[in-house]
Amino acid sequence: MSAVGSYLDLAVLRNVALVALVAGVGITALFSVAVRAMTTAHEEPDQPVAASRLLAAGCLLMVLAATALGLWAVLAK
Amino acid sequence: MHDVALLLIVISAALIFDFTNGFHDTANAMATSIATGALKPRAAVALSAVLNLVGAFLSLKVAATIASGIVASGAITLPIVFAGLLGAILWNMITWCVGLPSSSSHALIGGVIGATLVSAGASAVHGHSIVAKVVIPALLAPALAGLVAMLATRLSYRIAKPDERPRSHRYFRFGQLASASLVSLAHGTNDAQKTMGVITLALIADHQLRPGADPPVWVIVSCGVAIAAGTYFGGWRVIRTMGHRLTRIEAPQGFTAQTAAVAVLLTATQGGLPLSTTHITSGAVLGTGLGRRGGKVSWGVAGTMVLAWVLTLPAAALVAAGIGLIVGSGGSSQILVVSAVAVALLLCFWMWSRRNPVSAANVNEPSDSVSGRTVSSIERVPVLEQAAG
Repeated sequence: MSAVGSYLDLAVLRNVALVALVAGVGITALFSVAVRAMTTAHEEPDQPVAASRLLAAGCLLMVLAATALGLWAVLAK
Repeated sequence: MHDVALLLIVISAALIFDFTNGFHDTANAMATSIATGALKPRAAVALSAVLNLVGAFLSLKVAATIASGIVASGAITLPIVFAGLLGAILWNMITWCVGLPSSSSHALIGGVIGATLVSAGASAVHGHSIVAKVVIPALLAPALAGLVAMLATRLSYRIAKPDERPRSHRYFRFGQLASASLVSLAHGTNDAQKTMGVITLALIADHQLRPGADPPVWVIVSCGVAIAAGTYFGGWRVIRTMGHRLTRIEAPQGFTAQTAAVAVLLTATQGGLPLSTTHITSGAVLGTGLGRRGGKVSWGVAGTMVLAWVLTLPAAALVAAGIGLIVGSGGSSQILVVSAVAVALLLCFWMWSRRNPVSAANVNEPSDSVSGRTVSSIERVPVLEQAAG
């Protein structure tokens, strides 16, 4: 890593890797929870539909907010 | 040759490079959406073209020359830019013909390095910058994107259980529309501006602009239109490789691969790391193939792709160095002859590709799929049609 450090700022590298990991995995996890909730609402009518839909909507909103924040951060740079 | 004529040739070459950049990189954004049937091929490239065009207008902050810091700025002349562009265009055409995703930016950097080496000598090339801006990012981008995509895919399959809940594929296809659109937007923002930077550099070298000037409006518009037109043209060969030959992609994988790619791309841009969109998206596709239980990756195709990445810079440099030797003096007859030969070569590549055409009609043919599995027509119905139906 010290060899790489003479070419790139390792702190920046670590931050980029961490943020990309958290954002990439976090957004897909949130979207997957939303998908799970939506399929549950559709395929398992005995489950409380309103709660599933609320959970899906909440997750999708968080995905949208995270995406908007990411775009804003890049474009406002 | 008169400066204005040479300038026009360089600008034309830059716009042709921008066009090849567009059609070569369509796969980055749309290959997985086309492979999973989230979008019809023509609709996918049209959407990507529009978003590339929009992306070209979003920001001008990276419209500095792509070779900045890699070669001595005082050494760059119009013939060097011309030779570098031709080297990059020819390498883009070669990799397109064999259907391999490779970085257009690295091809351009390689071209400029090769032309500078023969024109101004090794002292004008900054080896430290090549390692920092090309070599390390080329190793980092696919590894990081692959890791994020692999973890995201595992988590996604564990949470959503798409194998047990077929309806979830439909929702993931909707998600793919958003994630692929973001990749297209980011591509337009990054790559169109690189060509804007090249043309601006040529205008400065020809004293049409003062040093440090922003690209004129006509440069922004022409670069945006060129990359959008190239994107709409559709690099179907590369799309087939990314969508089918590397691994078999299901809708949840398409979504996770694109989301991982966007996350890495935007974070790297924010952090100032010059990562290639092609390397990021290719790494993400490989990662998602590894992340799904039972998923297969065609390591033969992946190895050939990595070989193309390794060869991109030296191959483009070699071609550009040859051209640089011929046009180094800027003589009118040499530049005209090289331009004519280059156009003839482009036509040869095009005619060769027609022997085994890949188009919107057959890009999803399953014969090239890594598993050979035929994806049913029901699975391929685009989500917009499903929504309408």
